Amino acid sequence: MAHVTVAASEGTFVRIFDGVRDAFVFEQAGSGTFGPLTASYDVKAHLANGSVDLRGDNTVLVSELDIKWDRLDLSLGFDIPEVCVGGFCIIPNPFGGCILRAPRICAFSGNPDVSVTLPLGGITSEVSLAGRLLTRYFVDPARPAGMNDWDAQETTPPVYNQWQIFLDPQWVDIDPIDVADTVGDLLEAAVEAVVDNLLGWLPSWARNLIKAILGPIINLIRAILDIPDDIQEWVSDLLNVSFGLLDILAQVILDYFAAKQPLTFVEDPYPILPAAANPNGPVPPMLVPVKIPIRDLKVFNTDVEMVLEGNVG
Amino acid sequence: MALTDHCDIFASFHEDGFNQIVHHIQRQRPSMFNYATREIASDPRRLCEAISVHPIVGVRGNPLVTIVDPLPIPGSDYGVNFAVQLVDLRIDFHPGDEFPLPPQLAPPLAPQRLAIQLKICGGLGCPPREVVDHLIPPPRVRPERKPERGADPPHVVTPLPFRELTCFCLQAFVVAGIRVRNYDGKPWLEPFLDGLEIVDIRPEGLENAIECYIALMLKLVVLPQLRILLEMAPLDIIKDKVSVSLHPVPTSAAVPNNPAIEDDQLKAFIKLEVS
Repeated sequence: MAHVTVAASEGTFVRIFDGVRDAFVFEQAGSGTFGPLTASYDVKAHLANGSVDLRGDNTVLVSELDIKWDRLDLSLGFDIPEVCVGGFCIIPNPFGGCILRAPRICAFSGNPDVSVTLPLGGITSEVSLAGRLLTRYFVDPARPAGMNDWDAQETTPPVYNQWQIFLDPQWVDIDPIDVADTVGDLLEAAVEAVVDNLLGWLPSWARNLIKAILGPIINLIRAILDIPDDIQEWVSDLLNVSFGLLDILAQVILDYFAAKQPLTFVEDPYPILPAAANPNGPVPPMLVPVKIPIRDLKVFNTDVEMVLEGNVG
Repeated sequence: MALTDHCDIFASFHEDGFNQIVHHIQRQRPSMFNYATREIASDPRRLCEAISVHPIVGVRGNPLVTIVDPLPIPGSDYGVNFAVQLVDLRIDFHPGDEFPLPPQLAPPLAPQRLAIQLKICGGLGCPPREVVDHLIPPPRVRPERKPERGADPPHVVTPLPFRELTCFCLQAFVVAGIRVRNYDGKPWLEPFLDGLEIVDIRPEGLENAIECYIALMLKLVVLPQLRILLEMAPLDIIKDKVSVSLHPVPTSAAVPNNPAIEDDQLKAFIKLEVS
């Protein structure tokens, strides 16, 4: 029989899980070129809510965990074909040629000349995962070789060895990022503002003429980027598939629960009695805390509780 | 039946593990189990039983023994060096199946109780005769004058020199329990003593007197130092991730004993309270 048994009810396990969930932060930035489009993203997300279910087959199911996108900035850069107006002859020369020409004005000569950032944050995705609890023995790499357990405890921050308890996901399922249906309007307004800014230096007749040539901005964007009718779906695909944000986030969540953030840990050796005053006088002022080595720690769960079992070495 | 049917956290220690814990406490905090005068403490080789310690005790300069005053010789300014050591200590949680209890402790071990088998060694530093002969006071020719009021000098006991301790060891048995007591608003698992029996001492009055003395030492000194903070019992798995405090589940029909000593284990049923 195990020397030590500790069991946490499902409610207690949920409290422990909530602490780990709340500590999760995902921050990532990246860029890519997709045909005529150069794009980049800058995202930050955290986890919230969700339900945790301990199951009788020694697994844990976490359902509908919210991924709160605190920041989801998508930047798009693309090239509008150069448009030139003017240059026509105002006073023709009867002997040939032109005495006075209207000035020739060209716009959108840069490449790319349009760059807009769409702030798509504030949306929520969902992730579900299931896995098994496991223990892992952790030796802090910052702990110098030969350091005793008491010095390791008193170092700031402590570098003591730990039995760590992880939830090792066997699968992670993330719903695709589904941007708001207003993204089309957002994109059109952003490009409109950029175009107005780019043409701002032109006389009004030239500006009006160029905008008339370009036609409706949204049609222009669709034509340039070869966007299908559903802009919302196109942007979502760009994030989910082209950038692979879904895969990246799934891997980050998997690593986080399986290896980076233990649900809890047990210091080894475990301080069962705290330091106490020296009964014989002031030097040394304190007696060392009494520590017990924990051996063979294992974890499992039933449908109602998590159980830790270990021996005293 | 689940371990946490009636609590949020359940913790249990099997007697084998508990004995291991006691063994670690003996090695890491030897001054809790060994008491001696300063002269003996300065040379622990003179103790009746060698003390085995964890290396950290030496590294941190922790004492091997708790220093106590010499045993005074009434009517003199002298005292005798002595040492008391709790050497072996073995615990048996109910049901008692590790060692037999003496009849005086009314075996079998009662439910919700634990038994302790311990070896206590003591030693007295009896001074050599030639030293004592020099200390015998001469006859008083005049009555001693009582000093004026308020001028009493502090009574200093001078320990008498000795060559080696005159040692003896006793086998004792203890029946005890464990309860939850609050100190400064925090619950502790605290051992308490029901009865103690020393084997084979005569006359009975001497046995009773020594038992009384050892029981006092256990009650007032050793057992209080073996209290375990309740929140330490479940290996602190809650940590500081959530703002909760741990409290014992009140006893009820569902949890008739908390802590419970049964099935060779010490069990604690704990509830979480959001603070």
